[in-house]
Amino acid sequence: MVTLDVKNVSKNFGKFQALDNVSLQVRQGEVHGFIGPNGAGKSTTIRVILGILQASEGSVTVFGKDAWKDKVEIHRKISYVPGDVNLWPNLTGGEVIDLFMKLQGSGNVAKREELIRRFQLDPTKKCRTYSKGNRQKVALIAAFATDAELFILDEPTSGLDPLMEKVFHECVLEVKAAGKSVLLSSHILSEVEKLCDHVSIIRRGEIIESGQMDALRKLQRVNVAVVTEEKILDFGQLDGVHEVEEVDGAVVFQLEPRAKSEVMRVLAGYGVMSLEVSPLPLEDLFMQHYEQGDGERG
Amino acid sequence: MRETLQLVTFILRRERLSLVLWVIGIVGIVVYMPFLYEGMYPTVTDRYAAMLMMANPAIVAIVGPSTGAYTLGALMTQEILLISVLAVGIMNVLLVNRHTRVDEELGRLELIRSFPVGSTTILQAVFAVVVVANVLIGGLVAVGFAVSGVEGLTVAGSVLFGAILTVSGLLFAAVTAVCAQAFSTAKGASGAAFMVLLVMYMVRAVGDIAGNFLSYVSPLGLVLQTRTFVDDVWWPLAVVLVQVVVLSALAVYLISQRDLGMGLIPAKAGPRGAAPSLLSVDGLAWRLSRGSLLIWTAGTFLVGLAYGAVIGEVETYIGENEMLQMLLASVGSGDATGPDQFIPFLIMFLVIVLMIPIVGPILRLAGEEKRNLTEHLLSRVVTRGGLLRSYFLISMLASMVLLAAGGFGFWLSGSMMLDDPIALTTMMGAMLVYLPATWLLIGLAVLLVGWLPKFAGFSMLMIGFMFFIGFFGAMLALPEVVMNLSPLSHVPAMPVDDFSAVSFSVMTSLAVALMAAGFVGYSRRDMQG
Ligand SMILES: Nc1ncnc2c1ncn2[C@@H]1O[C@H](COP(=O)(O)OP(=O)(O)O)[C@@H](O)[C@H]1O
Ligand SMILES: [Mg+2]
Repeated sequence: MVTLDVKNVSKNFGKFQALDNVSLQVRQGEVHGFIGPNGAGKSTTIRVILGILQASEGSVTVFGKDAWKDKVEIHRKISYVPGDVNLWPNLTGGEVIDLFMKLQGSGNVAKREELIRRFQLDPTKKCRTYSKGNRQKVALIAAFATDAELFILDEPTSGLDPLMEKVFHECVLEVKAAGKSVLLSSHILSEVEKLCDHVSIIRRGEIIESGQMDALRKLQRVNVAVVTEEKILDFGQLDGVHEVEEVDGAVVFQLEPRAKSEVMRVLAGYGVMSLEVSPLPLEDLFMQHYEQGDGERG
Repeated sequence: MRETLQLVTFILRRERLSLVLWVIGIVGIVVYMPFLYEGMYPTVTDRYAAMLMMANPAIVAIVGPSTGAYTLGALMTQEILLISVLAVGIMNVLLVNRHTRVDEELGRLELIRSFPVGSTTILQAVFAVVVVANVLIGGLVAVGFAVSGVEGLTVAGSVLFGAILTVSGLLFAAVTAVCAQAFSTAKGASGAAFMVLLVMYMVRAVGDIAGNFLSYVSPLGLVLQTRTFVDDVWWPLAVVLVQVVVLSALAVYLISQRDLGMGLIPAKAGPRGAAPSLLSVDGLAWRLSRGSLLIWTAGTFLVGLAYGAVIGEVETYIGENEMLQMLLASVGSGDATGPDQFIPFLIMFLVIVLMIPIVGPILRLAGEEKRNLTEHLLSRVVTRGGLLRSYFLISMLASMVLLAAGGFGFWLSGSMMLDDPIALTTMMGAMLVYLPATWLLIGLAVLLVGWLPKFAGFSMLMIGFMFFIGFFGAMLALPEVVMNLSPLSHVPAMPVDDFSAVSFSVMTSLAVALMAAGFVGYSRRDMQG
């Protein structure tokens, strides 16, 4: 069952096009990674999903309802943690958590206490005294203490220390085990790799890759380490071969899938002694997408 | 030293536009004034009559004491010195707060301090900028007056006038610098600084009416004791200068005593969970607004009480002054010789100030959107209309409670002071007749928040405009079209004029239309955050 369906959404701010034909699906029980560099359009997409922004074109349906027209109804089953958590300086963390849970409508007091303990938050402090990480914890506790069906988390770990990051990961996995769906925007790839079954990669407002983690890797270049009898000359000139390096007598390079057979034929001429092929880590995958532009927009 | 200079250039670069606008704005208006007064009071008789009017306690309460002299310089100084000082004061509070507590709250200072910059260096740099700005204002005004060629504007008096602006500006810079150390939030710091400004103003008003020592307790009272363009007395200004030095030293001492991000007044632990009254958007809006609304209500009641006392003094003053009685009879109509006719003037002044807390809740909502706070609410089960309505209702409540509090205070002390007391209904009527005007302003704010949230601050400009029209419009003989742009121009000056059902209902309908349009826009537009 499709929980969230973003179809061909574009969003313009005046002349500036922040989203260009973005499509994205999150199925029930799926943890969907949404990755891209700063300014790529992750938060904008999320705000369109939440009905905070209206799509210029395209449609968003959540639980089968229109995200703009039926937003309030949809929100009963959504928990959202914004990327940049600000809070009311005069309220305490505990007050804010209670308010958020009540406004969402499905809060659970026992769960709240458990999360406060796990995230090690002092809920009696005024929000003005909280660091960025602590403000983030307030929003996370309020979100995970509710009984939502879809969790939308916008770069939720950007202010957390590694220990709290671990608690957060546990929370996501618990929610997933309970059959809920998660849309997790991030630019921390190890996190996405660890938690998500599906990913969508966004760059300059366009989705450039989307699919299951495995499928996505298959589409991409592979890492090849080869040792030959004769020294390979001018290997870098070949079409579809990148990042050639010599490591411990082996030639290491990245290979595009389309050039596979051609390169193998050439290699055979040098007398292959050993050949190792490994998938590229997500970090490199990511770089490969963004090296084509500077990734950033102002 | 080098770091200080670098910081100074850094601050100046950030401030160049706003500083230039403030300086040009203040200097431009002040320097234009002599020409205005020259045209307004061409003969000695005009000036004498004006002096008598201006010695009236109602006026003294607002602008400061009369020297009894009736030269152009003396009249002009009485009328514009205090207002100019307040304008310079506000500029300094905002400027200093921006570069101390605001920066600290936003974490910008953390960035600056991660370079080898001492904690006092930043304050020194801010002071340096402030000195430059205030000396510039004072110097330009002094030169402007001295070369104006207007009769009686001596060089000595011009220099004194300019020096008063400079020193008062520095005083408020120093007050703000101290507040910025004491309070741990930017709002707390600027609020405290403005509160100090208000208290100084009130203490001086009481002292000036009663003619007692209180005028010398408040620095704002002191600078009015300089008798500029009459005897040019310098010592009161020297006293204020000493206060500036002491306060600045205090601020420097305090900053060296505390940690970054903290205030001297520590934030104490609060409740672990929310009270049921907080658990709705209405509850949240009320919780965020109630403190300031309460303070404003109490303050307004006190100002009302003070007004009653002033009116009592006016009655005595007119009773003792035959010349003034004749003068009033020749210009006025009906019961023009009674103190009643000063009531609308006092009330209008109060109402304009009250516009600030009245639109406050709407502007708060706009500010929260800028700080990404509304998305917490709107991503939950909260409608756009419901969110705006919560803040809107508090604005409406504020309009009624504040005007009523002022009217009640005014009536309470007025009825004790006057031989011929004013009825409570008359007093309340004179106050509440301004309600549609405040609703128009609320309507304007709602409209802006609904459609053009970036320009929500324009409603504050509108308050400034109403002030300008209310106090200088008639004096400048502005064309009727311009005067009519201020909602206050359409409010009958009760109890002197009669209540007008037409003006009341037309303004109310217009306000409702603006509000409705604003709500429509708010439900449709994109939210910033
Ligand atoms: N309200 C807005 N008006 C104009 N431009 C905006 C607005 N919100 C976002 N943008 C621009 O849209 C782009 C995408 O921003 P965002 O969605 O916040 O990126 P991300 O969350 O991936 O870092 C950025 O270039 C940003 O400057
Ligand atoms: Mg973002």
